[in-house]
Amino acid sequence: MKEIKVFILNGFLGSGKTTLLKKMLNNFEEQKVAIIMNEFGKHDVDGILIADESINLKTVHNGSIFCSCKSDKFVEAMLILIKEEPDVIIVESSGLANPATMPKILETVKKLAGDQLSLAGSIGIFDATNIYKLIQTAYMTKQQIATSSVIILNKIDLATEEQIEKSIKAITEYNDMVPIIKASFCDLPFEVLDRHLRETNFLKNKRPVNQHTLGIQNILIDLPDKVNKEKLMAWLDTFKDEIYRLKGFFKDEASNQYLVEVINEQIIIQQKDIKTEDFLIVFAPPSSDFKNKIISRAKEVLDINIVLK
Amino acid sequence: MSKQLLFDAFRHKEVDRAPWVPFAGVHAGKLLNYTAKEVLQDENKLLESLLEVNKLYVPDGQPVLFDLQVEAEIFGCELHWAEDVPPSVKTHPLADTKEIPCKCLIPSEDDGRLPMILNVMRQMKEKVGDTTALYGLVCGPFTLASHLRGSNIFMDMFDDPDYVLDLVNFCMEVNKAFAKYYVEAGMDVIAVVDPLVSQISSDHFNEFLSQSCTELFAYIKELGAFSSFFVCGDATRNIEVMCQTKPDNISVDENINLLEAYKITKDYNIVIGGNIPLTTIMLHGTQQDNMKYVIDLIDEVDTGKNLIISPGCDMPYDIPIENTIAVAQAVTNTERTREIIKNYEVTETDIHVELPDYTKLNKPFIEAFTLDSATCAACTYMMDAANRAKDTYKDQIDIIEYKFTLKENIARCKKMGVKHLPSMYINGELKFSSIIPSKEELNSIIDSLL
Repeated sequence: MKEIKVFILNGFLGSGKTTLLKKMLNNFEEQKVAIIMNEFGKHDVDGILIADESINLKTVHNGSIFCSCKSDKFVEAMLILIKEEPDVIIVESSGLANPATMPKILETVKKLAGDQLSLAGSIGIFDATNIYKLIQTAYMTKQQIATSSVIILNKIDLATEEQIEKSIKAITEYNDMVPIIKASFCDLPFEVLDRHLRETNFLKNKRPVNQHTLGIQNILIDLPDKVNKEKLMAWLDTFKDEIYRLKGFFKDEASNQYLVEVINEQIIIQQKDIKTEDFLIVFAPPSSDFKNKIISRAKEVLDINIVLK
Repeated sequence: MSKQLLFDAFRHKEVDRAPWVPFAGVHAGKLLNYTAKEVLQDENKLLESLLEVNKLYVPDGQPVLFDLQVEAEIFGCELHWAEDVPPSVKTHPLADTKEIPCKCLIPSEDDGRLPMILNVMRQMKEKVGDTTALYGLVCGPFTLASHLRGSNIFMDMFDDPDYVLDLVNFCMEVNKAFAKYYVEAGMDVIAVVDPLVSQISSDHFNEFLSQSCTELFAYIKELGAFSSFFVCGDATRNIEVMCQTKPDNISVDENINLLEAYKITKDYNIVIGGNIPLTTIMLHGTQQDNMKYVIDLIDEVDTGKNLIISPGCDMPYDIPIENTIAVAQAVTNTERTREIIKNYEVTETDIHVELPDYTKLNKPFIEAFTLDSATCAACTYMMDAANRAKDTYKDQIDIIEYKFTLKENIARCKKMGVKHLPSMYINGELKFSSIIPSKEELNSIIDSLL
């Protein structure tokens, strides 16, 4: 089965998503491209794209692609486009889209059409003149920032230095790991974008914005006085890909104190010369199954009954 | 169907089972092959479709129209119409101006599609109002404000919060007017559907919406109706502030964990409703997936009160009818459905089922595959059709029912490749799947085989 790369373009109306889309099309000249558009904007793209018969365009109207009552149309659009065997599918989502629902949607598509899709990355395009305001009002902007593989801070030609600074500060508050590329008219070499993009996993790798407001659950785990370090790592390994982040302290059987973190599916353990209580804090998706899962795995792997709070 | 059950649930009484409310908006059209555009614009087609929903899905409550663009259209928003989804708003009359519309512009009952909608409401009340609670839906004040102003509203919240507050308050007055029209037309529940609530923080909800929504729900109560607050998307952070506006019910979609939401709403003695996934389960799942999902949901959340089972939101047009039938069965006959699932999961391969030799039949042979005609309405109708044919043709035909409640019948379904229930096979060929044949249709097929 041919691999199809999927790019997601996130950003508010007018931020420059369609401008970037047009530039990306230039870079994919040798490839077969399909597009899913999810917003009525001020720019009429259809006319421009229709002129290029090699591009297959599907539009999903009235509501964010990632809303539950619209995801069927997105899935339908994907299934139709996949049949045409494109090399690339670009999804231009609406400004109010919650990208955290994307994995579930893609999973549905995969179940119905086979495992052809490869998420090449999520590109956030934000307007330097107003993103620092929108973050405070349009809630999903935070999630879009948090799940972006790379961010284009656009319209810097129209923004003051103060606005640019506020925008960068606001963005890094919700994603301090994302590369931010400043641009006007999304004018940047595609190889720069390409270098920064990686397969995005929306439910992993990203710093949670606010555990109570994104539906993230915050689990506090009390650990016994001493645990076997290798067994602890083995236990963390069983769920490291299902959580946003983990941090805490433990002592091994020789009473050495350690700091443990799980970031981007990596388990990091550092010995520390401090005295502290032993506990873990886990930031995980709001699944009621998850707690049961880690309790049972602790029993199997660590051979202890952990207490969750 | 039990309107009283739904009313009891709204009154926070203990009930024998959670009420079932299918949000069949444009999907209602699918039952009679009408497009979304037809059922949202044509009075007769809408009424026919709603009655078919009532017949096949046996709801305790059902909406009359699920279209959040009715108000926007009256205010001059251009709509983009489609064949299988509700319309979408293309233009925003306040996009380039910060006017607050005059209260004199609040629509009357004669504006836009209101006359059509109110006529259908009255007729539904007359025809099914004794057995089924009827929902009138209004586009919530924040979403309506965004229809009028466009996405500029998110900048306005930062740059000019007073303006947003005034606009939202105006929209709330529109909601009150619509609520009054709908209640006078016989609606039992007024649902305030505000998807954009999932787009704002709790602080902004309190700043811009709390007061309006509280006033609106109090008004609906004064009108003598129940109120429902619908939200789409992940609005988990806003469930508590929504509760504080005192609706009778909050309805959520699959982006919110229903159990977690229930833990909040129960403290406010508010009914929680939801939230069967629309795409992964209702649209693309099997009947067994749908039954199992509902059973698991009931097992997880149902404590005997303050719960309504419904799809997460407006049902996609193309949801297989049999899937909704399966959901209805699971909600209204949970224990029986539990047995069906159990049998389905453990049906042994060594149950030997003998299929007739369809090439050597003496007479036309009707085989009706049902979930259970005793409890599933659609299945009852399918069997009625078969029984009527038997009354007409007597010994000239044979009929039989295979209920999915029996293991050997499950084995037969698997052997024959029966995918959906209820289905009618004649001489081994699938003729009707979920759709109940008319007398003429069925007789015509039988005649051709005699």
